[in-house]
Amino acid sequence: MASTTGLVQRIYIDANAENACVFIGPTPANVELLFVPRRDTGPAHTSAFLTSMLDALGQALVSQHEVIVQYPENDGEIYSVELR
Amino acid sequence: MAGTEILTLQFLSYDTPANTEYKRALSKLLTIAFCSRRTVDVFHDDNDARIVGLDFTPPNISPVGPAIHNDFYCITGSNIPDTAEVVFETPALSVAITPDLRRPYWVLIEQLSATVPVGACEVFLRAPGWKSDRVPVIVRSGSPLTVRTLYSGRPKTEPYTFVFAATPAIQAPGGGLVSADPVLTNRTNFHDIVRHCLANLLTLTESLLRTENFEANIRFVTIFDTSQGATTTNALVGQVAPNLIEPLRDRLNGFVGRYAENPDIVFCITANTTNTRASAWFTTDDDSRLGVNSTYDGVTRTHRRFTDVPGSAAISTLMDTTGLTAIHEFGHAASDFNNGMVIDLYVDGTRSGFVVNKKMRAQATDSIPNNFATYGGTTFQSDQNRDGLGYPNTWTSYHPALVDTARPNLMDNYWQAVSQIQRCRLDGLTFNWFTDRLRAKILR
Repeated sequence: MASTTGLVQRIYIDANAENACVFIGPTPANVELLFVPRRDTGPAHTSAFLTSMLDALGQALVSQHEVIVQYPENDGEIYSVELR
Repeated sequence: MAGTEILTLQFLSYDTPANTEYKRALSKLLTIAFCSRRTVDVFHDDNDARIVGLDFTPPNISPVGPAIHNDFYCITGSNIPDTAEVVFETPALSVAITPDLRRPYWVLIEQLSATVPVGACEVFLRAPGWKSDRVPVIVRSGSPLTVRTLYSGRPKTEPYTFVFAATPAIQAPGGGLVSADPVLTNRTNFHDIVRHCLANLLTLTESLLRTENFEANIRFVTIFDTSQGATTTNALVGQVAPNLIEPLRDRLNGFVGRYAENPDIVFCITANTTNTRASAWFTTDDDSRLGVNSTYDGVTRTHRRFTDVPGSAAISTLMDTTGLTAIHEFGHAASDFNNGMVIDLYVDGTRSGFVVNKKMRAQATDSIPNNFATYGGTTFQSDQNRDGLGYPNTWTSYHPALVDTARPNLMDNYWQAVSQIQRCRLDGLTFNWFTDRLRAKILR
């Protein structure tokens, strides 16, 4: 398990992409690029969970709250979000 | 509404559940942007008004946490001029505040002034010939945060974290009675000493934490919790006769853990009026985790990347702030019980184990060796004159050669400097050793 702590500096979401890109770091120029995937197949609750994580990350972005996101080692797919 | 463009977000009966969820996410993010007055770029196909994506346009600065009167307030960015001021602006009013600490990537306001009006406004940085982007924020009054991140550090797993914790209680000498520490009754003094420590660590002539841009990768956090009682577990400092305070290191993980912090360094802030002289304890590294090897006098040593018990210092809000107390105590705290201790040079004694910056002769009449030690393949000479202060003729200890031979070592009695105490530096060996150790930890 890996994690990144920081401020959500940017969220980029595009229907043509498979992921929502989330940029997290202490400054706008010092960020780690991670992502929240889209699931075109699979159960509805999985998609709802991913949406809720994006929602939380969006709220953190505008309120400047620090977050800790977790993802697998050697992968950038976020599977948990903690707001500080 | 002038100059707007109408776009749509369509929820269609034939959308797949995943598509519906995607559009719901877009809708929520657009709502968040609207409510927070943040600018977004939205994407749609040519000749089609249906929104298919969005991008929160990133400004070139980033406020850290909510703006609350009398609380810390920080803004991060890049290449911030050292004359920058923080400007809060509403349509009716503009309030400019001079930061209490400026770094190229970060400015800190010790306590946000109540002259900044409560409510919605835009904040930006401004210096002659330069202005940052504007960021909409909500300023509020009320209670400052209990736990506040001042700077979030390197965006990696377990960033090197430095906590400033107001100690709720203090313990009498010898593990005696525990009583409430007055620091929790004076938030202003707590903020002031935190600001002082940060300036002492980051802005003086000693460049250790500026080397390789370490400072921009350190996470700084404050804890000031007035709800905590005067209990033994909350006593983070103890009194030592006649006037010393020491951090009670074995309690630190338990205390900061309540706030979900796992720091490498804790500065315990006290306002005890009788014991005001700072002291520190070394870190205990996590020797079960990875490290970076180096050699010291031919012996392989390891700079461990992670921490078991944080290095700690007890710092008084009443201390003399004209010296180097904060960075001196950091010099102890950031070293390690087993993997290398950096100790005081103003006394003759030493400690058992691996001491980085002091060696002993068999007798005081023995000459001081020319070479002090070989570290990482480089030989460092001894300081023959002890900072120009001279070794007392009964001393057997001796030190590595200084970087700045005109002033005492900052781990020695720097108060003896003829002038400009705050220009004192480390010796070359300790600086190199610390650079390697901090690189292993801060850039882990």
